[in-house]
Amino acid sequence: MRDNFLREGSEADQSVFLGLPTIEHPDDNPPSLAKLELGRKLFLDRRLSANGTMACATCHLPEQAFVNREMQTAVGVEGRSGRRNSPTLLNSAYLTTLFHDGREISLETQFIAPLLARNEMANPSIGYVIENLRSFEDYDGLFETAFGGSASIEKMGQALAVFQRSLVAGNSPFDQWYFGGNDDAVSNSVKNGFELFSGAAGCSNCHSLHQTHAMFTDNRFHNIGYGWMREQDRHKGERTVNVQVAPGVHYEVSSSVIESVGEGRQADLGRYEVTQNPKHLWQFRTPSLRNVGATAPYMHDGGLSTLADVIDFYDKGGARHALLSPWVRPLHLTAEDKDNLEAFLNSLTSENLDCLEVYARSGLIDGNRPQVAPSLGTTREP
Amino acid sequence: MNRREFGLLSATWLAAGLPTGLRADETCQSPYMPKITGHEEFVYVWTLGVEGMGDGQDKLVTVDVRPNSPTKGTVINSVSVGGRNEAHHGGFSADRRYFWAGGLDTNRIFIFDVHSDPSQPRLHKTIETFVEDSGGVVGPHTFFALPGRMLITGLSNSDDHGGRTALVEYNDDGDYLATYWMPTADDMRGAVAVDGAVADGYGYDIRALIRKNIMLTSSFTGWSNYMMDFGQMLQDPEAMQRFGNTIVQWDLHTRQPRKVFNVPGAPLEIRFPWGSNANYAFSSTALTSQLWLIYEDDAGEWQAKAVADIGNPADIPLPVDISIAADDQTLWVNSFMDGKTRLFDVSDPHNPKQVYEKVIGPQVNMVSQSWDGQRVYFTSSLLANWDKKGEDNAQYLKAYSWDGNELVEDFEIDFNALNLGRAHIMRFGSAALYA
Amino acid sequence: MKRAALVLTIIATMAAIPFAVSREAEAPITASGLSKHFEVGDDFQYEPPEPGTYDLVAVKSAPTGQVLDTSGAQRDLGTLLNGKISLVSFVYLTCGDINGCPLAMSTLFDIYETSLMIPGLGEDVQLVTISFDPERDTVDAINSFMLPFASDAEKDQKFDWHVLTTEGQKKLAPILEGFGQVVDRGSPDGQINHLLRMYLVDRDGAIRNIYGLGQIDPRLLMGDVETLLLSEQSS
Repeated sequence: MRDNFLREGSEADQSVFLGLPTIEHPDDNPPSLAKLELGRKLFLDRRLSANGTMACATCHLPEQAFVNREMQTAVGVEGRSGRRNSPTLLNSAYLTTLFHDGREISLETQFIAPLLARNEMANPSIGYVIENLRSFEDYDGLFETAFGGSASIEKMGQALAVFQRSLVAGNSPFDQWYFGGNDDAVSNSVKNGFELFSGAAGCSNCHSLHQTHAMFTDNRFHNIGYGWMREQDRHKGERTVNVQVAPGVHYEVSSSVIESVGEGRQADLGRYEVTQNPKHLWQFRTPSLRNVGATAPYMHDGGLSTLADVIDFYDKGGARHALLSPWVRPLHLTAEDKDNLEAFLNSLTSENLDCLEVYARSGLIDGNRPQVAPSLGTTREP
Repeated sequence: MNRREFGLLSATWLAAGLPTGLRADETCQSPYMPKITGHEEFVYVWTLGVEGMGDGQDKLVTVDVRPNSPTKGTVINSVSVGGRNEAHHGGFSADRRYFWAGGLDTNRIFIFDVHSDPSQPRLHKTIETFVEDSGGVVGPHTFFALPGRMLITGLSNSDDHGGRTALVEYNDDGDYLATYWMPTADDMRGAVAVDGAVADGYGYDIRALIRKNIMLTSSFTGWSNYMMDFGQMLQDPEAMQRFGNTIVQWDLHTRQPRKVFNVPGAPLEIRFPWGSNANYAFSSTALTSQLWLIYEDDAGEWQAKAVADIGNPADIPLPVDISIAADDQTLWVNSFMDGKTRLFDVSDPHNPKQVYEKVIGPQVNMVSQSWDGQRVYFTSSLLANWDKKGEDNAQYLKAYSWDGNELVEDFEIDFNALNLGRAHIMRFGSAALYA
Repeated sequence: MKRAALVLTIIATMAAIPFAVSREAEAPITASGLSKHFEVGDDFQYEPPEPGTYDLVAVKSAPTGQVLDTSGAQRDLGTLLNGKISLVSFVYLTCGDINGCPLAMSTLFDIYETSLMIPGLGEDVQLVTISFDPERDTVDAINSFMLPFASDAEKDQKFDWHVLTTEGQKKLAPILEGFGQVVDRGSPDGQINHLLRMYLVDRDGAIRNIYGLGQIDPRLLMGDVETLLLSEQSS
């Protein structure tokens, strides 16, 4: 069912939110259609990068569940290497900290970092971006209509935040079963997987649920050993890498060959880089697991290609070192357990992803412009 | 004399080059174009700017190669275009008066006037609207001249920066005309997949055999990969799945795709021979290191098959540019990783045999040879983020003479030492073309 | 001398072709079909695309300008091109390059003769040939060049063939520039270097195709004419 996720009141709309908490819009940035459409336009605009080659949507592709499935770590202006995998924007309305290391707390200000980062959109300054926006004829009147004033850094952030808060995707088969009471919505494998997830395997200690909704994240930071392990990998000596050169054709390539044509991976210390607290080394924000089946590859650097790889990593107890979270321990899962866990994770994919893709690209919902602001679930009237 | 006799005469003349009075040139041009069959006078090198080096900008560098010139073997002109655009390939208009050069990153197309003064090309026009004109095509790559028009292959698209792309046509004034999307498994656009080929919609090179009304395109990869750090990409299994594995046969006149061939491992350059009865083309696959033959069989059907390995494919030598001799008997094949050029005897196109090899530098990409095959030029850069790092990042134009047995270096220009940048495609110029 | 060569060539061609093209091979009366009436040349080793199965994008507008016809009358090129589909070519009569102008002229001649087979098509299609050598190709010169055609008893049933020149370089230059026909003068032997080009111009004066060497195939040229006619019918 293609839900009119923005239209207030109808039953179809309500269903999109099945399993999700209420969206809290900031007092000073209530949503409106004008802000929404402006934010969508900004999101798609390649001119907002230093050389006009990248938009927000270049790394957060609507067609790919607002990630980029075709690379592990993001590529920025002039091909500069990012260290991390692009996180999905789906349900970012519910996050209390942003980025893999949680260095931002608000969608209203989050956009500044990628706009200016040398290895992302690489703009020389925010003033430069705003000056450009004021000069683009196709923006004539848009900021004025949405905010009653000309383009500014604050208004830009508010428009982008309103747009991102509209990318809401609940109502997965899991939600229909667990919160909706439809026993046929998922298989027994999913149910068994969920039992393991929320029980013996302990996944829900961090990927947490509430009684009436679930974001599958505690919005906190943990060291599961993955970041530490990747840092050890970086310092390994000569080794070989299995490289696919054509479908079904793989060669083992020496790391010295790879190093001859690569700048090499950069260190990533995770949450520590924000707090400088040694206890926070290699901690990363717990990601939501909603739509995780659509957002490969996985982990902060995209280093694991499949959910099965991720489950294997946890089954082995992560990567043991002094700072490893006590939650992470060998699980001794059977093959069936792993299949059930994977089935559960895949049951978290929402039905409206196609609808969101079309909406993000075209501004249309079921072929129409949205008529009502995305206020559903707000605690305050716009 | 009747029309048939006229036709025979014109075929003879086509083989000799045109217009009469001009003898000349590198052998990899559009067959519509006048050729330099004598001694090339200038080599134009489309050069990538390097951050922190000189003016940091992409530039068209002119090297004097006139045999008796006091400035032979030196840079005599350089036109900077502003910015780093991922300068890559370029091609002359069919009347050879303008040189179109593309930027794979910024999608700008620079049109240089090379006829007003062939020793001093100047920037005539810049097309800034390639993506908008074409409906979302990114990465203008090969510039293939048709009479009055330019057919440009894309490498990517603005939606996902992946490999799905199109051919884009402009007129000689630089006005947009049409976009022809590559066939995909979901939308074959009337083409038929053969040998289990899966139409990927990717693009790279384009060449045509007018006599057969046939056009071939090859397939590389999208912006995400060609802009990515090469070492990073090799270790990224997601990225390595995104390379083209097809060559597409088109109807040249209608620009409609006919067949999709399975050519796995990123087939790049395509070269048709010149002979009046030669109904085949060569291509090389970058990742699988094979020489492929696209040929018309006895039943009149076009086919594709691998005909030779280039070096040891398991070492990933990464074949890049190829250049076929005017007599169709030999083919130069460069490979980037080992910095080698290899000469294949292709007198039997179904059984190419390597007859010579030489290391040109720590890395090598493009090769261009004179019409008589006696002079061979090499440049170094593949892509800004794929070139080797540190000491091995040699950037050069090297000129050799070829006597049939040995490449003997004539001169070398160090593009790093001259603060020019990364040397990419070469094209020949001559004042004799505009007498 | 060289003019004599081309004139002789054309006369010889006229003598040869009518035997190949006989009215007895009755053609369909529709516009569609003219492209089927040509022999396959050795240079063209393909089956031409079926007319109407492809698009011919407008490349640009054909230029206008002042030209002179064989009677010496001033003609406006834009007016001349308006209303009919035109195959436009540029030649010079003293062209000694057997692969240049004579090739174009013999193909046009082939089309001219064959047009007899589709009565009435001349209402829609015409041939236009413009000299790029106005100094030598005077009105007298083009007039005598066209004399054999003037005495053709069937000429009213064939395409109009306008052979034109100009008052001089000043009038010629914008026409060449507008079409994109490159011409280099300066050869010591009086020959004019040029790239062989032919242009398909629609009724509204838009250039719809440009042909170079290897494409001067009457099947292709007339197939494109048919394609334009079919697209007019369907629109």
